[in-house]
Amino acid sequence: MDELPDVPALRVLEPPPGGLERLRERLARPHRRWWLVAVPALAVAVAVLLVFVGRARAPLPTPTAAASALPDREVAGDGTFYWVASTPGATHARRPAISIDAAPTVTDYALP
Amino acid sequence: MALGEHAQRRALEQLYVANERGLYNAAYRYVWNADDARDVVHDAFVRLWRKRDGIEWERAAGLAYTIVLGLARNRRRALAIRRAFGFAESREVPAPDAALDAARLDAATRRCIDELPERLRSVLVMCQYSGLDHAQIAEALSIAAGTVGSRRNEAIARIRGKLEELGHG
Repeated sequence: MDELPDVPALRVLEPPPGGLERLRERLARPHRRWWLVAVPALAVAVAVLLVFVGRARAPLPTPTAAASALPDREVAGDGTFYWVASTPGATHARRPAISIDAAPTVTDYALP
Repeated sequence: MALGEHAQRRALEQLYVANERGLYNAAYRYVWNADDARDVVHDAFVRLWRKRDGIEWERAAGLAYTIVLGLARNRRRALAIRRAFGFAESREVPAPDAALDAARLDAATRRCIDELPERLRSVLVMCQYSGLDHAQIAEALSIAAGTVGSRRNEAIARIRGKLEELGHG
């Protein structure tokens, strides 16, 4: 009972002929180190990916001061006009005053 | 003393010639295909050649079996995955009617071997095909020498029991 049954699946097989010649051919082939190509390529791919992810996740510029509405009575006569800015400048250029005058005279002549 | 490359090459080829049949048969019992079994053996010798500077060629047969069994296991797993996804055809060849019984017995035996746990399978194929003694097998598989015989007997008992269950006793 300590021997295996005599079945084809267990019988000793002869290896295919020409094994040593094939082995010599395999050994004569240059050894390609796939990782010499794969590792730098992977590193470049990861770097590109990180740049894109970094850009997508870049924080939006945040205001340096709380948003406020700046009243400006010079802009509109009725009611108050508000300049709204998150970061108001320290100085404002002087805006020309708005005035309501009579309409310009309408001339009516034909060009030659 | 380290051998020159020419002497190392000769030692490798001698090792191949002396052990080709045993290694091929051991690998075959994992992949069940002649081309795959031969490729596994050649892959193992390519690995041995790359490690040549640290090898004692007189005692390298056990190492060759260790590498072949490891590669055969990997190849077997890869084939199973490829078959599961339909990238490799099944190796089952339909038998003619006259050979049906023999083919059934053969398939049943293969199934019994496939179902053995690795600790029994590796010992069985090495005892059956390597020609190494129990001490060498134990060294190659990193187990105690006394364990080799008990595992071999357990593997044979399991195969016989399974074949009887399947009506091939």
